[in-house]
Amino acid sequence: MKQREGLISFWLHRVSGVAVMMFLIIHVGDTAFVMLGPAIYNRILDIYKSAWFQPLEVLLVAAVLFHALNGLKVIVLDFWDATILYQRQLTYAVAALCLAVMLPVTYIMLRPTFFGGA
Amino acid sequence: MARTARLTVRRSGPPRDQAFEVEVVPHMSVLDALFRIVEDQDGTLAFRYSCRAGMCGSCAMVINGREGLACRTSLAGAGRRISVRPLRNLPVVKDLLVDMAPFFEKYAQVVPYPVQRAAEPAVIPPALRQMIDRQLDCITCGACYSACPIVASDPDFLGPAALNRASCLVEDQRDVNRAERLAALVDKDGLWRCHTTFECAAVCPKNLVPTRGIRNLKREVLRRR
Repeated sequence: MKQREGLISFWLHRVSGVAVMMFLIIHVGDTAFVMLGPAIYNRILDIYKSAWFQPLEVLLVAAVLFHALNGLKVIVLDFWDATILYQRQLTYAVAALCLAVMLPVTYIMLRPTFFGGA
Repeated sequence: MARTARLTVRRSGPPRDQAFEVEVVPHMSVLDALFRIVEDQDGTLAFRYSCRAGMCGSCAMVINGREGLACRTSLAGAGRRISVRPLRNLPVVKDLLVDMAPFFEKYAQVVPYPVQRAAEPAVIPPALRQMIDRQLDCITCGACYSACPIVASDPDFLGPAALNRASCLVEDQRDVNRAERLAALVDKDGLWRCHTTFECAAVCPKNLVPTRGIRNLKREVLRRR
């Protein structure tokens, strides 16, 4: 696809934004269980610690990271004249930065559950 | 043996794709290929054209999934299998011919001409002229309007071409109603609906960046608050 970087980052921004928003709503919900006592709250928290939830947490970090960096990119485009002609390069820079951060973060987050480390 | 290209053209009525084989002649454009189809194969195929030189903007259509001017798109460069469809976000009249009325209604909404002061000649500082230099070449072909994902989701959004024109006029010192212009652009279907996807810039046959004009308008609105 030719020169679709702007559109792809727009959609990723939307999807990551909605995903983070949905997590926040769920998170407010699960925190509210604390009102029903520690036993129930701890059982809810166990869901977050379960193996199948770990990859979802990695996705959450990726969504927050991309949304934040892409948001900064849009601010740069809006307030720095010269950058408007380099939006594609900026999009690739955001993607590269996300990848550079997410590779070690993914390993660190999944190591206790999937790679047998502490 | 002469090389041929297969053009898959979206026809109207019940929407369907119809394939045509056209012999490729050096320097032939997609518009030339459409002429060959009309002359040799199917005289009922409808499309709009005028200058054949990339100046009038009449023959904008979606070629291989991307908006472009048929007269400026090389047939050989477009590959052996070429899909040709009408512009998006506009009602189809027949085949590749779309009704441009919604596009020009929005263009009219931004009052696309300067409302001048009485005092002439106006003195325009070179820096101001340079600001709009790269935004003046719009030929209102509608390619940006077709490519814009915001127009697709909000049919009332003014669209890149109208906003680009508005930005030229807001920068025009001769214009008397700059404040009113800006006020008219900030409603819910105005410039804040632009999400800087740069689809307009990616398809503009004149290599304009309407996003730049929209960005300038946003900044001007903020500056005046």
